[in-house]
Amino acid sequence: MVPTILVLSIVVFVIIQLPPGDWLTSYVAGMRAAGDEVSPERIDILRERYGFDQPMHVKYFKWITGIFRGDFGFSFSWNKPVGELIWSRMGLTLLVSISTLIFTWIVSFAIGLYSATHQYSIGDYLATFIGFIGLATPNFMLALILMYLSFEFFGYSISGLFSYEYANAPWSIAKLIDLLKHLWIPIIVSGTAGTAGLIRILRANLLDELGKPYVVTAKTKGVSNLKILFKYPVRIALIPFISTVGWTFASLISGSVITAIVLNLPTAGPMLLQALKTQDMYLAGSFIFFLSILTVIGTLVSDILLAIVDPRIRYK
Amino acid sequence: MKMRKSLILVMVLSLLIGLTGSGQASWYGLEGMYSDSAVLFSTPEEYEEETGNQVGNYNEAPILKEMVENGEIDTIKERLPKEPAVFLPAESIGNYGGTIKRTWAGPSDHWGLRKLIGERFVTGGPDGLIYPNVAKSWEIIDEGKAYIFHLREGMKWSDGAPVTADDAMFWWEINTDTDLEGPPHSTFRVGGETAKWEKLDDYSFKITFAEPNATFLEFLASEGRARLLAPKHYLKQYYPRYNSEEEVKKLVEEAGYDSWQQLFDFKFQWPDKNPDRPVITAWYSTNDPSSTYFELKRNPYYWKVDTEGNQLPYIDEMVHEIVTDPEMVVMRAISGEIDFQGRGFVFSDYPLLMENRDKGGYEVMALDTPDGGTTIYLNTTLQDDEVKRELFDNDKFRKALSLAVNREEINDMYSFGQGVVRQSAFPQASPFYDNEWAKAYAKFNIDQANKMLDELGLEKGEDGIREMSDSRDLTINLLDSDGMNVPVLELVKGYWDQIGVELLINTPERSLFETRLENGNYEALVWHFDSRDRPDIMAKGWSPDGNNRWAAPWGPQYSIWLQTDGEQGIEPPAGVKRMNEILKELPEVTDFEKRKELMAEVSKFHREQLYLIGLSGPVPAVFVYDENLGNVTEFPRGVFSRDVGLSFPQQIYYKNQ
Repeated sequence: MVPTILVLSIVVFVIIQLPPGDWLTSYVAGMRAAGDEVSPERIDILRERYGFDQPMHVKYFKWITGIFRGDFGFSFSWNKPVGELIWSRMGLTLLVSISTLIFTWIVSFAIGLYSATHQYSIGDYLATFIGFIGLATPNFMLALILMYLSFEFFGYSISGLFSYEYANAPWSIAKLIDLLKHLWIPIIVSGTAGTAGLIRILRANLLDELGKPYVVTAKTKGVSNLKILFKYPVRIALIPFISTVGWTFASLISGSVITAIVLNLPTAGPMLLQALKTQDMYLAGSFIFFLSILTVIGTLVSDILLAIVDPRIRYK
Repeated sequence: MKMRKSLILVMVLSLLIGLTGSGQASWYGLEGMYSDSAVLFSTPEEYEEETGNQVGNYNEAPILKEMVENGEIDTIKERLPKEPAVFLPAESIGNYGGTIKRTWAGPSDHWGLRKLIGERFVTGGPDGLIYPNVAKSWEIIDEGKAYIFHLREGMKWSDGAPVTADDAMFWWEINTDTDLEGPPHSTFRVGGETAKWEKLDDYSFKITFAEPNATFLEFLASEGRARLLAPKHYLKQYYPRYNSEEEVKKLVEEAGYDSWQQLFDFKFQWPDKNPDRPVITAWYSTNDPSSTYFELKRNPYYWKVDTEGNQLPYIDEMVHEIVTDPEMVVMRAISGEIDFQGRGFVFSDYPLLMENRDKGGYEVMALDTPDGGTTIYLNTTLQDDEVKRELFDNDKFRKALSLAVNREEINDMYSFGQGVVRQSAFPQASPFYDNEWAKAYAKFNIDQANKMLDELGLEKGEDGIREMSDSRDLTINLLDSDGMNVPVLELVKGYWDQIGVELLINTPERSLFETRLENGNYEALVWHFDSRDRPDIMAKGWSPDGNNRWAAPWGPQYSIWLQTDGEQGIEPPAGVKRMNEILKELPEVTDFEKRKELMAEVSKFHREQLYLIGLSGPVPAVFVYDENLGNVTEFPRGVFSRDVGLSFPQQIYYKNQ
């Protein structure tokens, strides 16, 4: 895992700096667009002050060693250490992603179970239909449609995670309720695609298991249907459920970046986009780095869970 | 256009122009265009002298009254300067209270806030004259060789500390500190020498130049970097000249910065960086700008009152929500969640905004934009392709290309017919507008264009594309930053197909575009003609400039030649050299007629040479405001005039509350 993260950090850092120019280029462009004069001397001073004149490996080394000391570099556009900017946003990103994961699990478990046990019923077709639509619709599109509907019928734009009254207030029950009022939208938006996939997996696995001889045997012995279902087939059908947590989590995080931009969530997404546009490299780099680490951790967690749930894995 | 003329205001205004000694000659050349706007008086005394009325007893907002009663701040009399500026609102005296909701895109959008609340040291009035603002008054010595400014005694920073001449001297100190800011702005180096500053007393200081600085007041009125005041009492703790090095080092380390300059950069900058920095603006920030909602609250020490003595501003609070997606900004507006904003909209949003006005409860203004228009620049100093360079450098070739652009159609298709159909030229709102230039080679005429190209010996090949003298196809490789202009360029490609010139459109990402622009490494590019309302002072795209690599995209190697004293680049021809002479001469020209003459020469040169091939004139800019807001006025747009700041947002108020 550690080598993966190290390699990741190098890739992240190099890719961010691949575009021509640097933050100063976009800064000067912005000043010029506003009719302000930036003298060549001033540009040289800034270049030196913020270390743009150093070669890439020096910058990388400074950044990566800083991270171990808890110093993530400097955000040029905010004139601030990156550490001061990212924590609340990373926290909310994690909150949205984990809530979405839980939502995905609960919904797809319930629907998958239902469609497998009621195969080819109207309910199964309906669930499958909705699931496929969810799978086929890009997240941002769904977000736009939801936004359009809410504007058309309720006359306000749904976005953000907090109302203005609560955004800058300290945490309280009322703020939590306000958060929950907003949170369901990004959860649904970024959760539907994953839900659809999991429903199909659970349904297919369960159908496989339900026809197996041990189920038939149990039935003939008079064990109740529900008991059979939960005692054996569901447990086995759950294995791919858990083994896919890793990539579900990864796609949730990367998907949430785009959703967050469209829905204007105070998570990593919008600030990351802005940082990339202005080539605010340490800010963008730290965001991508942490998102990558989350993904790596997600994979690790899914491996551990799998080993717990399925004893067979441990022998392989 | 809103036509709401108040007779009294017009009378007051004409009285003012007649009487005041401080008003300068034409600023934008907009005299009379905005006569229903507000009027600013330097002091209560001046207000009384000029109108015969008296400013009433000083009054303050209810939330400030409460703070006074709780003993949190001083009384209104102690907070205001001895002589506050007196402001006559555009429509009526307003009510206190309310919150203005806006959006911003984060630090890259800092001008959105600066233009809105920034205080100019002296200010342009909407009538085109220059008025006292932060400075109570000034004296001009020897036609601009020296300026003496008087500050307002008793004026305070937002933390209650007094504003004095020391703050101005401190501003100058940091702006000349080569360890910190580098050399000062070029306006302080008129005549080749850095200006000299001198403190006369606690509230006066003098700036002396080597040569007359003719446009210094105009420059100050345009804000930019020239605010002339910095809160010394707050900033000096971060500055090693005033604090011991260990102390500064400790502060730098605690805050997690690498050097004192980095920390100072942060502490100095407002409004988008340091919320704690004391300010003199009507609102000051109370939380971290990176919050989802960045809040600005009323400054209890603001130094302007209305004509009845009510301390401005009327609005209690401004809230900026970070919205990075432009479509979301429009969404916010149509659902009525934006109360006073022009940033973030483009003209193509206009129909959508108009359609949802009633639903969202807002009004939309379409404001004239002073701009030269979208322009194609051929690089006449192209390197490594002498055949093409010679062709681009031929004015006949450029004229033929210009004749083959159907501007009417472009305007109808992409600006809903609302744009101005003309050649790229100085904007109409500029005092240097030249109708002949605006019309030069702007009429669509394919036949004549073809004839001109035939005369240049460019014959069409079998594929219908003309061949250059070395029998290569005549192609023009054009850069369009981020593909912003592709729809229009596709039309142009179609027109130029008809004259046998192949247009290849490239859409590099913005920073790649900037880098190639800086290196002068392109055949052609499209950009607007950045000429603005005062092309003699700012945005001087009409001449190459040794101090500015980005000047004149039509001849980048000329700028490099001027910058390196002839060591690199290409030597400009005589006509272009003359442009640069005028550019250098202008700052010292005190006589406005002489200025006009010089700019007319520029105009003549460009309409004859046609280095700028205009595609579309400026389109109006969109501004959205809550229908319940009073005292909202139209304002001249453009960089030089500081945009929305000139509508004096301190006067807006909610009518029903």
